[in-house]
Amino acid sequence: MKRIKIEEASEGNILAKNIVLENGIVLLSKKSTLTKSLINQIKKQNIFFIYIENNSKEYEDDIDYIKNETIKNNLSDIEERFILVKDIKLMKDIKNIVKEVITKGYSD
Amino acid sequence: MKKDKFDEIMSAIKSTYSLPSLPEVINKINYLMDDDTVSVNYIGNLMTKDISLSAKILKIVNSPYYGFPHRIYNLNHALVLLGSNTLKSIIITSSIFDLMKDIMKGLWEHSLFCGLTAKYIAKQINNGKQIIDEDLVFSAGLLHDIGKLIIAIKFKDDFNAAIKLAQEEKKVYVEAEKEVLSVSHADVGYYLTKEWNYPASICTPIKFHHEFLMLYSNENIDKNYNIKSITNNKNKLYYSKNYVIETAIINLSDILAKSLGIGFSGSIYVDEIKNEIMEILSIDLAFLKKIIEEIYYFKDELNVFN
Repeated sequence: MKRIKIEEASEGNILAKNIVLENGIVLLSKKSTLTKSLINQIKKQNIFFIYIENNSKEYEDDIDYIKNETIKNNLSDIEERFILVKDIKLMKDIKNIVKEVITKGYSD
Repeated sequence: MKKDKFDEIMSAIKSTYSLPSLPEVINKINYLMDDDTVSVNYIGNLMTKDISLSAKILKIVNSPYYGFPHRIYNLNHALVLLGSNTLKSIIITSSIFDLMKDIMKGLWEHSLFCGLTAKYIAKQINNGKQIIDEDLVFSAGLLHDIGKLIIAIKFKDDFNAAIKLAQEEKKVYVEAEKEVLSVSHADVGYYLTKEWNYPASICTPIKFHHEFLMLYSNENIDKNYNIKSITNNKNKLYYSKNYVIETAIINLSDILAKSLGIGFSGSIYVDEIKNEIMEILSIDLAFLKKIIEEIYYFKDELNVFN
């Protein structure tokens, strides 16, 4: 989520928070996708800032990159952590379960 | 064992001024909780005098880990839901939490994760029956490494040397500790919790959390003493042979916390889960798999306790 000036808003942005008018009426609810006409309506209500979701392509690419790096680090970290017990069957099995769970945790 | 260092630690434990001090109100609450004749309301009222403590307890009881259907705003209600042993541990650890964070990065996360894991394992083993006291193993898990804190304060250089040795020579922390220090964190933790009047069900697992086999042979445990036989023997009440089952759970939780790499307790290296632990708890690899899959998500909840 990030806070932006309404001038910076563009078509396709997704609201991360409701836009509430002074009288308590919800003008637009969160998760709404902005269009040109919606942006104009928001401007007419003298609203200067809105909260939108970080859904730009670059941002998602960054996240994917970080996730992959973390998984890679994690898998070699796990190998290192289990080095003293690497010849024990039970511990080898546990290591594999841990690897599986951590990798799955990042793909969720 | 070098006698002088052991004596120094012991006198440190005995003289409260060199220990992390517990605020007055916490001391009083601790004392009252052991008294069955004192009402929950009275303790609750006393607790509201420590605002940060009250806030912390409400935050914990409202965390997804406990999963109560409604938000709990009332401290007395929280007291009843959490149970006195869990509260006592939370009170003690939260008061030394800042100290833990300053002295050893990651120890708090490791301790808390171990407590949560121990409780979860106990719950799965109990499976609706009341064999193991889940709150007691939570407390033992939370406090199992408390001795490291005292060592880190009293023998900072030796403690850092042990950590460095473990890292450089790829050792588990206890092994490095044996080489550098004349006293073990498990023994220190044992004496400290005894000094704080904790029951043997908490002190014993702390003392033996790295020496499970020693306790196992001391108590002459045979293969017939295990969770399965205890559960099958419906006519006989569960009696704990010097908390060997609780100790097994703490040892297992400690290793699982290290396996998942959550927190840091002196060395990254994972120790072996002894077959005797699997046998006495009547568990297999499939059980461990289920546990690991579940506890991995506890890591997201650690911040609730901050």
